[in-house]
Amino acid sequence: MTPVLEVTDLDIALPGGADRQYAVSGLNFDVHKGETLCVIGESGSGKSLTGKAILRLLPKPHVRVAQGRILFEGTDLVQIGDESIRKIRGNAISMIFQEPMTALNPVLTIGRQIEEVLIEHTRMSRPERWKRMREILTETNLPDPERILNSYPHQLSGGQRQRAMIAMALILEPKLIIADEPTTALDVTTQAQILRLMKQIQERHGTGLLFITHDFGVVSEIADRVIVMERGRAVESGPVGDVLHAPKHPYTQSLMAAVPSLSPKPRNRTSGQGAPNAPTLVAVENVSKTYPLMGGGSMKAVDNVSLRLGVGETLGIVGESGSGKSSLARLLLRLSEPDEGTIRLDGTDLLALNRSQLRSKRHLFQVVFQDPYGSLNPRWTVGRIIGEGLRLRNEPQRKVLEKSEAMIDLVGLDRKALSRFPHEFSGGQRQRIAIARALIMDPKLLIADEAVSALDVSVQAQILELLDEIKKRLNLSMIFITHDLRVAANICDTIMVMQSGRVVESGPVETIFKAPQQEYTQRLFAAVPGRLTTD
Amino acid sequence: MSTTAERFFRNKTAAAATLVIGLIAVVAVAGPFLYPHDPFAVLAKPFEPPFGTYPLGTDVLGRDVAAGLIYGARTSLTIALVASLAALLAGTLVGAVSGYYGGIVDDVLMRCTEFFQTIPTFLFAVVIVAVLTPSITSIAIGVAFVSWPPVARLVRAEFMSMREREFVRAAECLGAPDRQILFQHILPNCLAPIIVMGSLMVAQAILLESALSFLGLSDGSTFSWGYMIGAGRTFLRSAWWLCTIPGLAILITVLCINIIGEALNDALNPLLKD
Repeated sequence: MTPVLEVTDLDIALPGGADRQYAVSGLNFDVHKGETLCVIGESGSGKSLTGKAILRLLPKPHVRVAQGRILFEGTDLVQIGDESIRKIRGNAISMIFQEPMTALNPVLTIGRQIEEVLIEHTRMSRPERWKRMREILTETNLPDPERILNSYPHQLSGGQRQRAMIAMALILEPKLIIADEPTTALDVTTQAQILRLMKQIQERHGTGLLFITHDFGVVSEIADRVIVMERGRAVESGPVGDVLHAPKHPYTQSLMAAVPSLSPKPRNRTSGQGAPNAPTLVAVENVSKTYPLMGGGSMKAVDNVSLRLGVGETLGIVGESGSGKSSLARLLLRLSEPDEGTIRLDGTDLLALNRSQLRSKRHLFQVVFQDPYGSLNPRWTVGRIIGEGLRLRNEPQRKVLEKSEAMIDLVGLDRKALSRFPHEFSGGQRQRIAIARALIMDPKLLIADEAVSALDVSVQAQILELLDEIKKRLNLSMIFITHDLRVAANICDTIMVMQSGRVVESGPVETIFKAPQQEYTQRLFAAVPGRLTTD
Repeated sequence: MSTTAERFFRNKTAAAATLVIGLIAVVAVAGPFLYPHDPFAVLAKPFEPPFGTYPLGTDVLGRDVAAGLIYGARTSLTIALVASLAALLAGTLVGAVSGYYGGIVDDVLMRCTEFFQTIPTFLFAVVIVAVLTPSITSIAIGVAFVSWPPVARLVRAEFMSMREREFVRAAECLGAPDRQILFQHILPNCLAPIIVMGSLMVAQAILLESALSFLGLSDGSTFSWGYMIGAGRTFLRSAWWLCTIPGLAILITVLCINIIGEALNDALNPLLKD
């Protein structure tokens, strides 16, 4: 049987001055009817460009296919004209993107946008089109298709938007679907549903699916075959079982090893650090925060939350988007004021302080944010960024420099970094800089708000290790906010599960991971992709 | 990646415009010391055409037009620069405070800004200069007074989006005072649009000053381009050079400044960096 898509010797050239000449080189693969091929790799591996090259969506004119063939049902997509490729796009091959909010046009209803595909490629009458659209939305398990068709993208949830995108991709019964990280922006429970849906639909229609992802868990859920890419080259490929259970290439092995396990690390909780009877550092009681919503009404972002954190302990706050975990972090950081409740740090009532008193206490609790690209001032040198906190306290310049150097050593960067600018560093290195900026203040509490979520798994593993080591060395207490249960299992002593502003369940990490009591927690665990294959 | 200056000068038109503005600035600064004649001195008979004894001819009183042009450059450019700078400073301050603090502070400051914006710019400037009696200072004040609101709105929008950025939050968590956050963290990151707007404002200010002088609202003791056009307008048909020459000077200066502003916008825009 001939494959639907056959890619041979594909080279994609990058513009001069890039870190390598070819984004993708010598790539070979094929996708058969009714088969899912996963392309997995870290950022910069060339996996997304491969997907874009097929539909000729590469950023012109800098990035282009330099060599190779992309055969789709016998036609070479590299050679044909622009008009012919337009007929294939959305019709015979369709694409699903990572962020449905940006892939959909915000000022048109979902119905109009799906209808456009039908108008462009078919001669259906208007009633026929709407009938077909209702059918396809029902197939993607969207409730009340009529309402969805008349809604604008912002009126739907992330999961609903991605279902609508899938419906749009599917409506002309394409032979091949290219999905570029379609579940990365979604919560785990939604992700699990979408993956199941894509699998079902693909089996029902016999479509070929090229699935691009960075997540081994997702691969194990959906793939038939896998290609592992590293810096533009395919280093390993084969049936999913072989690659995941007996990876041959050292790169695949290191990637697999970097995926945190879902079972908590064994911890030595009887020694001083993180022992159950450690003295209390943070005590939060009955904190609530309500935000007014646009167009009237209000939302309780944080609803009557209490927590206790001992010296040297790490508390993980987990939950899906909108669960209130980041709002809680903002309250703890005193970036916003709670409506009620008390927050005590080391015996001091933080809410009773005035602005200047608070400023003098701020060094006690420091933060590391999620986005390694947004959390450093792009116009400042790293040295100025790290030393800012000390300079604000009028420390002498010599001491600031000494301490900055000590911190740069601590987080494992070169001292030369101090005179360079943030854009010269990779995501992982920037996160190290952010950690150094926080630690130079000698905080007692470090709050990490999704601090490793934006990083590749291998970098994520390094940063987690660094945090773990620093925490032990400095007897630091940490509040670790994450949506990723694997990360939480890796670093936390106690876990607090949040849902729509409330604490659903909390307790020691072993207890929660082994026997979650609440139904919501159980659902969260069940939705973690690849839990059977990798644990 | 190339530097901003490299990207700017790769644009040939912008390079040429910068050269021209540079020459005009040199003339404005050094011209009065080098050129032999006083613009107010009556030297010859009236309406001598250009390219005779006097390179640009003489006006209705027999005064040297070239001398007027050189001294006028000084007045026009000084007023434009000072007024733009003042408007830029005031607008940035109002916009920064308004955008960063939000809430009631923002409401009050923005209502004030809108109050200024509802009055037609030119009429407002006329009223201010007339009330303060025309002089270089009062013209600069008038021009600055009507120019700051768009700056405030621009800066406010920039600060509103910047204050939610994580590096700003991180600075707040370090205990940085508001002053430091506003002017050390946020401001350097929105300088690009402010610089571009400032350069375009200088062009606008030259036009405003000329228009005011044309209406007779000028400092009687100094020459300016607008004043020359105003004085020459009745002889437009018999002595064309009296209006045309200062008019061309205004046209060239404003055009060059606009080109420079546009080119700066492109050069500072991170999306266009190659």
